[in-house]
Amino acid sequence: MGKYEIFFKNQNKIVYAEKGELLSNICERGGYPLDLVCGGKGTCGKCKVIIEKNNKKSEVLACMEEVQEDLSLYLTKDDIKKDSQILSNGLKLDQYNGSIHKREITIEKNNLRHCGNLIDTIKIDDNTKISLENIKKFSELIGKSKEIVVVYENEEVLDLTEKKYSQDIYGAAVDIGTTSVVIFLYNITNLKLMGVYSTINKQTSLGADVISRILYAGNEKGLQQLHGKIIETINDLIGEADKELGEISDQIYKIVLCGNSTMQHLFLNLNPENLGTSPFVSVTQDLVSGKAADLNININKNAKFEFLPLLGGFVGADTISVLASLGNTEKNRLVIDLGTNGELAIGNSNQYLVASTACGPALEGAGISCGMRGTKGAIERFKIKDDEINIEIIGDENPIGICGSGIVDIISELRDYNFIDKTGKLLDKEEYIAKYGRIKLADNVFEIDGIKSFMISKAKDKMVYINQKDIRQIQLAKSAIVAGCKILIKESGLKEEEISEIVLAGAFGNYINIKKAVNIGLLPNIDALPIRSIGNGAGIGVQKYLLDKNTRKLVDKIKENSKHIELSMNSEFQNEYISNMHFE
Amino acid sequence: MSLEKISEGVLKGNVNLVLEEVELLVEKGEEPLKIINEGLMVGMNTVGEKFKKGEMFVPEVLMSAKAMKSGIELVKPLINDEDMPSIGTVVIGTVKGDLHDIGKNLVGMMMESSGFKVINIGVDASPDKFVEAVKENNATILAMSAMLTTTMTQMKKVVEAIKEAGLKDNVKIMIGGAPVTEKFAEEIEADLYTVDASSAAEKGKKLIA
Repeated sequence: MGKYEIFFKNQNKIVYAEKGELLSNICERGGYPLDLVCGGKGTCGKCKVIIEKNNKKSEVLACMEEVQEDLSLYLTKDDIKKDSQILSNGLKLDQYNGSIHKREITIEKNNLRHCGNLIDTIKIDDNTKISLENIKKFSELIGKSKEIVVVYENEEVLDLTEKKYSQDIYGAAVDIGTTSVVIFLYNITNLKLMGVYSTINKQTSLGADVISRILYAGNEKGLQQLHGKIIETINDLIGEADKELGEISDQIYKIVLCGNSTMQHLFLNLNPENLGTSPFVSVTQDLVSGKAADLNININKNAKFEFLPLLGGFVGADTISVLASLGNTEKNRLVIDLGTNGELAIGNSNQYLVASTACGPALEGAGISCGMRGTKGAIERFKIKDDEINIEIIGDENPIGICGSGIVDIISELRDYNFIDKTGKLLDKEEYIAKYGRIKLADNVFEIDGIKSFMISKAKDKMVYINQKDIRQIQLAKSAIVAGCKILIKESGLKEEEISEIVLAGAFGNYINIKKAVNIGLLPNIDALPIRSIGNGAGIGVQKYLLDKNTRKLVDKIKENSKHIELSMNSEFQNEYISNMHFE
Repeated sequence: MSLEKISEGVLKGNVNLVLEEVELLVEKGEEPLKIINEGLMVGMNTVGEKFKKGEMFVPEVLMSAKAMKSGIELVKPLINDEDMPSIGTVVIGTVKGDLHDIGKNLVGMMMESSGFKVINIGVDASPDKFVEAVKENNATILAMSAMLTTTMTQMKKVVEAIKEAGLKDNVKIMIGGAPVTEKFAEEIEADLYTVDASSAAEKGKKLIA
């Protein structure tokens, strides 16, 4: 136990701390992780908290504040990272064709061949591998019972048990996102999706985006910490399933995972350093498999894990999973995965060209003056009607900020109503009235710290606005996406009429108003080409992978035939990037 | 036909307007240097201010820079080389491991239009490349950019390489880029951090004044 007493006033909780320990670490240890968007570098200001020492209150950055004495901490609900709206949709397959399966075997001692080989009774074919441990278990079991249950992965024996009670086997498919982690848990015996469990990736407390985590991994023990956090996140979710379904974790024999390149490195405890700088090299892009117990995942000790392969650079196993979710197909598609990073692909299962584009965190509400994640109090919809503003807020609370879908709506509407001109300039009140006549909303344009802004809402003294610099951030983001799409289309040699549709994957794609996204040029406007949002495509793909061996073959095929294009080295990309910054 | 029109042409990024007006003024016998200082540069200074406030953006600034450059090309032959205004030489580049080009180019253009001679050594530039370019061009300022927290550490290596080459007293070091801060500049002993392209030009001038 440490020396100093840190009193969480609002939570009525005491956490003990060592001299010099960072306040942000203490908060996390106490169960109140803060939103360290910049990774604890003291630059983002998101972890600003009020402390009191020697009867004096002051505001400090928790990630910079070292504890030197007892203190009290006033932590509000808003300071603590809260569960975001996370996408999680299951998937049902009629026919199971996965790699794990079980057999119930009855050993009739009377029917044994003279001088026979008992173990043959549990072999599938000559390739069946059985560990010494399992052979021993087999020899013990046949003494006790004539009916045993054998669990296999393909031809290999994973486990044997006495047939006493119903012995269902389970498999888990995991989508490790930079921000959130989702587990889809299946009962393989009756092919039921038993539950979908999701939570914030615990690594978030050590850095919000992949770059800050790569940087953190360079600290002493940083990699081990990050690796530990993701394993802990997964184990927590499995624990949740155990609670809900009644101690089934020991019956999970397989866990398949996908995630971006950085998530893969950190999950496997590999140094991601080289992913952080050009030429963006991975330690391994191959499919990695092994014993789940070797990574301390709390499922059956003989269970296997598989992490889907990466496609190169920042284009990871999440993207290959999205592509696999589309099935083995000859139809050409343009696939846009909007998450913390933007991944793009074009083509069909015979060949995809893939690329990643730096669209920045603006679409997730970060780096925007009143931006926030899609949590309670965020403006998610915005519309101008009859000179009035209509907004929708998550959780029907007072608005405290704007999330990604709200930002898209706002830019689109302000552009339609000419408050924003073609170049992205926000018109001031006088200019607007001179050009378009007087309307009441023109009063919403104001200046804050010398920067032109547009008031979105003002409730309970909380001003929510968008300013000129925010608009510029969105222009950069939308241009990066569209310019990337244009280069991919060009490099693929496909004519626009040869593309069947645009597929939008990722949480963001599910929430945004697609029409408005096209309107502001966030998604490419290609004549008559339908745009379809598939939600968490990576999650769908990884479930298919668990349940169907053909999907594994498809993943191999995509991995083999895909080509990664480095956009930042492409001079045409730079030109497209600049020429797409304007609005239509 | 006036110096104001030339400034306006630069501000609007209108190459043709700039060319026309410069030609007319030259024909009328206007001082070439005056055309640069009181026409083209005045326009570009306004662009810088507007860019800083977000009222103008990258594409417009690039157009303005292009317009300014075309004007300069036109009057350059009329001026003796030694009379060309240059307040100093800047070597500018993006550090090793980082391929971000546009922001660094904007800074380069802004500095150029403030009267600096700018040597752009491109992206993914190693510390050695910076040192060589500084030596070769007898630079007064070394400006470097990093857009990733992972590549920002390279800046320190450049500063160290400059020290090792014994150039630290001869050249001022400026840094910039999304993750870079003033505090970081202090830490690595860079002389100046600026938040955007126009303040880079502005403060860069003061740095060597």
